[in-house]
Amino acid sequence: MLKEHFSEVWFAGELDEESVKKLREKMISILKKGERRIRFRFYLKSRENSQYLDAIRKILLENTALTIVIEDECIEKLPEDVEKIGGQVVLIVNNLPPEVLKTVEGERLVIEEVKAG
Amino acid sequence: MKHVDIILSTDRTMMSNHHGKEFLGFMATGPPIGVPERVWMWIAAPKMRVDAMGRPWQAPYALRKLEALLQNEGYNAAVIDPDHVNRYLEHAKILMLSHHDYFALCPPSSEWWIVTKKEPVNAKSFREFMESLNIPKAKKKGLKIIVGGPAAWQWLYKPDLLDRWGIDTVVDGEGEKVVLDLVEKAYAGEPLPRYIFVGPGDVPKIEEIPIIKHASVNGLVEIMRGCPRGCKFCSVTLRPLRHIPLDMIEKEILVNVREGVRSGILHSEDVLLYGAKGINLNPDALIKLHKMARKHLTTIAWSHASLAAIKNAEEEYKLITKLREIICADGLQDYWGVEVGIETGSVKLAKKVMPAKAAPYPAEKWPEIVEDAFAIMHENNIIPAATLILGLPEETPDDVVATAELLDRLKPYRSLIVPMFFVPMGLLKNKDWFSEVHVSNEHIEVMRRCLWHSVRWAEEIIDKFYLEKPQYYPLKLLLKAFLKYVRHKGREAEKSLGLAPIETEAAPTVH
Repeated sequence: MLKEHFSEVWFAGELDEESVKKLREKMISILKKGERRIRFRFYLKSRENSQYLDAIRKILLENTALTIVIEDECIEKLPEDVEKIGGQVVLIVNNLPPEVLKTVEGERLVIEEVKAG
Repeated sequence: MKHVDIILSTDRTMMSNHHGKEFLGFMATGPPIGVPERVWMWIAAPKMRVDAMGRPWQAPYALRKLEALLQNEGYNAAVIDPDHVNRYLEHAKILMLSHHDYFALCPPSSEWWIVTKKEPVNAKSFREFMESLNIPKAKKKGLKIIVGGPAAWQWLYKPDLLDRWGIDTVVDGEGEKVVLDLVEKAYAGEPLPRYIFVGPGDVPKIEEIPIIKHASVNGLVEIMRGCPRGCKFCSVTLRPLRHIPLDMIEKEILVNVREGVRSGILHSEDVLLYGAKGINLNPDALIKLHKMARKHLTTIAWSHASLAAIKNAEEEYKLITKLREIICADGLQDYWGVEVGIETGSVKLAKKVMPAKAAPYPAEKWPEIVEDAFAIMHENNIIPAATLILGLPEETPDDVVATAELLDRLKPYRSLIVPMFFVPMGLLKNKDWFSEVHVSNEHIEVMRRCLWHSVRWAEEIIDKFYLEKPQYYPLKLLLKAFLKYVRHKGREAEKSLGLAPIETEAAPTVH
């Protein structure tokens, strides 16, 4: 199942309420498109800390229709992963330092900023 | 076999056959009351017999399914008793855990916790199991830990414990189609996802569901997955409905019988819907199923049935009577148990959160359906363990009063009735239930009606039906002593709340 097609949504930066709202909107728009699987990848300061699940718990528990996969990676790995992108990926960013943001450009990468509305 | 690459396990409250009496397993959802914890655990969850490798005689069905799936693919996987997991952990590649209620957040554990203010033994036992494992050493050698089962969602409330115990992945939902992918990744040394929710589009088809290879706890075998009734508080209803073919069910029953488990529990969210089209009953399929089960088993029980289906089955087809003739043939058993959901006595709430639970009858008739079904079960020696839900969203005091009134009408019928506080598990599962539990006076009225109803009938059930063989006498005595203690504490609690006792209102006896 994990090898099937998933809508890819990555997140990097500060995971605040607005960010969670944005992620929820993404879930709804993917569901409206008739897709049934979504893969979220969270780029974190440390992979040893799962507290980010607290922030997204509500949207995970709200879901009953989509297959959801949650992955996490160290933020340092983001540029490397961007280079390896095979299909389209939406990267949602929130208060990401400009020097990190500069390193994440790719043809198939759609960057959406939380604060930009 | 010196090593087990993939260990499947859980804590003692799950890895037990509860003396062969499934109802006793419910005591594992409470804290020890009136007896030391060791005695409580012995009653609720005695240790399972194991072989030289530490493989239990019987194991939870979900673990047996995973074991079969992995063994069919050639993996060295086995269910291991919790007392023996450490033997294999250091050299294992994956530890898979399953549980019905890891942290006692589900009903009825959560009620016990709220009422007694003490942690139920299931959560304590699981925590002690995890703390007893030599996880840090095994993790250094690359062990991956995957948790799942019906209570997988609870880990989202405990991210600190995910980190503390080195849990790699939480799988929420039917795992058949995702577990092999995870195992491949773990074997390849790739990082695993943190969380997976298996949506309705990714549940396995019948042919993708493996047949168990070893005995399940108390011979439980599933006959259906999913439920068509669509109650908003229930997670099962979100999954597509699948009927397991009779030959698959028979194969699993024979696996149990071959390993010495001659009792069986037919598992479905609504056993009477086996073979049904929607909610239109299929008497032929049910009769064939029960005749087949009767051929192999000495006792048969149902996991769950809906009250509307019980009423419909008897009134339209005399089916409960016919099934009783099959189940109780040759004097092999004279009663059987089942879990049923009353949920509410309020027509307004029934229409709102479970409009199809009454089908084929209108939801407006819900209280009558409950009463009629209880009467049918009483007459046919079916002993229900019934649940009702307090604190449903939008519940008003009038709704709770309606439930109390319904309980008064159920007094004559042999049953256990357990009140549960609402835990969002279906479409309502994003509600923050735990911060909103408010116990009102009306709730207390319902709770004490349930208490006295259940104590009164439990005494009779123990005297006339339960634990009749001589080897069960010590257990029987302990349970009777426990009920006396509950009576005493119940009276004390009523007195402290200034409530007039209601237990003395004798229940009319219906024959």
